[in-house]
Amino acid sequence: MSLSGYAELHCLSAFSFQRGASIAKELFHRAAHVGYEALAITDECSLAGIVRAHEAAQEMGVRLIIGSEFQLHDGPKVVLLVVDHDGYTALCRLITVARRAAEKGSYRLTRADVRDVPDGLLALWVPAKEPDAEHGRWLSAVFPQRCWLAIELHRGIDDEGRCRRLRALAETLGLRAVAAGDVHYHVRQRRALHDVMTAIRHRTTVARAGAFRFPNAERHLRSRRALSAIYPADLLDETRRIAERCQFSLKELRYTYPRELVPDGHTPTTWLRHLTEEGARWRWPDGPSEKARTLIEKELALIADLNYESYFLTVHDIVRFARRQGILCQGRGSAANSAVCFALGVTEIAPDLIGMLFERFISKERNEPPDIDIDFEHERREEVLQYVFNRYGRDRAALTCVATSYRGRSAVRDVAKALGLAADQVGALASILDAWSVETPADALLREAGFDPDAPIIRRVTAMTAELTRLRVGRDSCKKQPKAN
Amino acid sequence: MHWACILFPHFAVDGVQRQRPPSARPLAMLTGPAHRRVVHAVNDAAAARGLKARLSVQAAQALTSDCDWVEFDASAMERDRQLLAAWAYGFSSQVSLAFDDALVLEIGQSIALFGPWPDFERRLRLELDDLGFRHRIVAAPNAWAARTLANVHDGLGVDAPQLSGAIGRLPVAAAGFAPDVTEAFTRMGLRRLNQVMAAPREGIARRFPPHVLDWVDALCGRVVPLRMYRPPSTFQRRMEFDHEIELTSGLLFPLRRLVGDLATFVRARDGGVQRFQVVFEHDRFESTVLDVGMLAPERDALRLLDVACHRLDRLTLKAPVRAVSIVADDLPPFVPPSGDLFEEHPQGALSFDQLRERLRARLGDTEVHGMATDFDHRPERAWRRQRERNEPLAALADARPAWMLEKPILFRARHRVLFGPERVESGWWDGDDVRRDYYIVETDAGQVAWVYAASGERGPFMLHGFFA
Repeated sequence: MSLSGYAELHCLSAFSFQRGASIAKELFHRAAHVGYEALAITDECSLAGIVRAHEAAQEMGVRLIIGSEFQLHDGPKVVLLVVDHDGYTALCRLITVARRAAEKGSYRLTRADVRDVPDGLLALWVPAKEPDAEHGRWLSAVFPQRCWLAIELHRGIDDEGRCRRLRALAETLGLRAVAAGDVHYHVRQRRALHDVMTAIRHRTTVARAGAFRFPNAERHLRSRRALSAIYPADLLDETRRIAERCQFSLKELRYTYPRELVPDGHTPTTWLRHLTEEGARWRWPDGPSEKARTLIEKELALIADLNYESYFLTVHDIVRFARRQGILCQGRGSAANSAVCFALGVTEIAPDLIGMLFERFISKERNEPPDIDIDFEHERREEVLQYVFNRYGRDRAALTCVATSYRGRSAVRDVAKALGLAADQVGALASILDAWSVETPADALLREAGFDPDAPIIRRVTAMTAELTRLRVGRDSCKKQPKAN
Repeated sequence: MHWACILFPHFAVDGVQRQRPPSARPLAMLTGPAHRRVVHAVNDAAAARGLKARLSVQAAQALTSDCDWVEFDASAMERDRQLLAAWAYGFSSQVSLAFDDALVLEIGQSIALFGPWPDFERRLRLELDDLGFRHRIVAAPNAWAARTLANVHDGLGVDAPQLSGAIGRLPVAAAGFAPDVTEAFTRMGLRRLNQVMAAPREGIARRFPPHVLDWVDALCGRVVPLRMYRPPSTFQRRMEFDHEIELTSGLLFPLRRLVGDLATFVRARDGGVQRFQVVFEHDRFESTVLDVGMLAPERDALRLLDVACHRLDRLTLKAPVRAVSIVADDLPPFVPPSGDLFEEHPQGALSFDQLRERLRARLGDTEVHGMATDFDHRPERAWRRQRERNEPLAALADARPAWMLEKPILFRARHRVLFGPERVESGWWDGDDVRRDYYIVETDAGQVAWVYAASGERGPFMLHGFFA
């Protein structure tokens, strides 16, 4: 008997901090191995993981579906999946709304926020242990014809009964049912790491975290054979039908730059030339050298070819503001190789004098937009931020976040605590890592600190610490880096 | 009315009689050195035959031969006083034993808890009747006034405005002063208390011991400090018999009284008792000690007695008993059971607590145990035995059989699977990782069993428990 095709539509990656215990690469590797047709990465109220997921999907040849999981403040738990560009925009907007409504690190999405969602967004209702039919009714009203009831079975006490009841409920509500895995890690073996993360998240020890731990390791990317033993074939087939609809790819995304930087009567190309010429007269009062002139012409042609004018105009706008306010600023990195950047006042070194390769900055071969880093005077950086927010509007300006990952020291601390070691032992283990500064502390150092490196508990601590640091993502922390979009 | 005085007019006799089965026999208490024994107090039956206090024993015996003669025991009286104080402490945090044959308690603040004074008073009387002490109760603005009025009144409640009138009318002889004090007042021409209260304070201070001045001061409304009762932290009480008791059935009555006193004591402390000892003393043998322990603190007299009696049933006494005592050192806080508002107990049915203690008494302490739950997905770790139940049991999240084997055994019975598999994979952190698939199966014999196989396998099955 041939196995049903399957696409996993509900899967967290390690970007769901302290919930997902595998990184995208591992997930897609496993998905390819077990022959999934597609894999949705649905981190909780976040799209932070989708770039890596996109890369991993490309590498492994398994299609990525972009989505996100939400627990509504006043409603159901739901997984939203992106069908098209509109859907992606709507999902980004929902995440922004939800994140802005709560403290950093959390979110708050209410029913009132989920309105006028485009057809390009699909909803999977993830019912609680005791399903609330009203949740399903509300969701199917907001997502007419594109809402499913996700049946997630994990070898509980009566999977068959639950499946039967949920299907009956779906029928009553006029919803289609679909199988989903609520995946938290790629393989069964990650159970221990997930238990540790769960304990850390709930600030307790693994042994005491019983109420929060999963009873088994079923929340991994299960083989299609295993899934066939649990789900009726039609529920598995439905995953593929949904996956078929979700054809959106990150490749479709293009930058859209602010339009207000270009005065009437100008195109971005003519306006950039105008500003560059103006800047050239300021930089080279006696006229640019021939070398500089050649560089300018070459750069402008390439910029026009790649449609990057607006990017340069945006950077110029911010730098011009800083200069007018007397705020020190300077571009650094490969932008220093650009004569246009020099003319626009973004950088301070005349490129005709140093003779670096402009191609290190922008090239047709490197298919990615240029990246100009500008340092602003620390004390007055906030003025620049406020200028960006005011000029482009709060809904068009944002700070980028960086996802910090566990490093050895913080990892060993959290792991040792979760495994129930005493506070002084936790400190001692952390300082061993300091001394040794690799992922696994050396046995000699452990002995010196009074630990038995062969003791099962110490072996567990070191093994779990190593696994945790390998995930290399984690807590969101804001790095103030204005990006106008 | 801020203070109540409870006067015990027959304190000594009641203290003896309450320890005996109800009887109409005359009883007289004797006191004094062997060569000058006199009657100290008598019960109603003895009084009816002409016996009265201060009669010599010979004179008394001349009046009746059919009488129980009991040695007056001052220490027993003191114990009764302590018991009553402990009981009163259950109603008020200010209780004093400063007066002989009476106790006073502050009621001003207690009324908020126990209702208006007439209801409160009724309750006090009911409980005193149960304890077996006859009494008179008077409420007044201060302790001394209440005590004084109790000499002649019962059931009187006086507020501040009527106080001086009510007291002033009393003859000095009824005030409760010592006889020589009363006589001295009389000689001074002071016959009623209003005259005493109007007398120059310095004069009283000069002529009488300090407590007399305190008393007069207090009656006049001056604030006089009162030594307050503090409840002890352990309970100990002994009852001695005139004759040897040979049958355990004969011990039932004294035991009931002692246990009742224990219950009164712990209730007054708003606590409970979880463990106590009953000591049976014999003439020529070492005492027999009966340990009574319960799984949870208790303070209901009937339940405590029930437990003690069932233990007594199983006890073989090596000799007749001369005295019984109860010792309780461990008096933990009492956690009242959460009663159901609409709870319906069929008449005569045992409450669960009673049943539990009865089973323990019959089967032995180790055979009945409490249970604690731990949140662990491994069934064998999800609950554990616990000798004493201290906390409410958390509900188990999953369906688990009520009866589980200590060690799973191979399951060979023919069966059909009802539910499953339920996969349990847990425990790596303590070196006891399990990976099992549990099934609920029905055997051909109709039993519903809980069996498991290694994760992903369909056998061999191990039996882990049965569902009721």
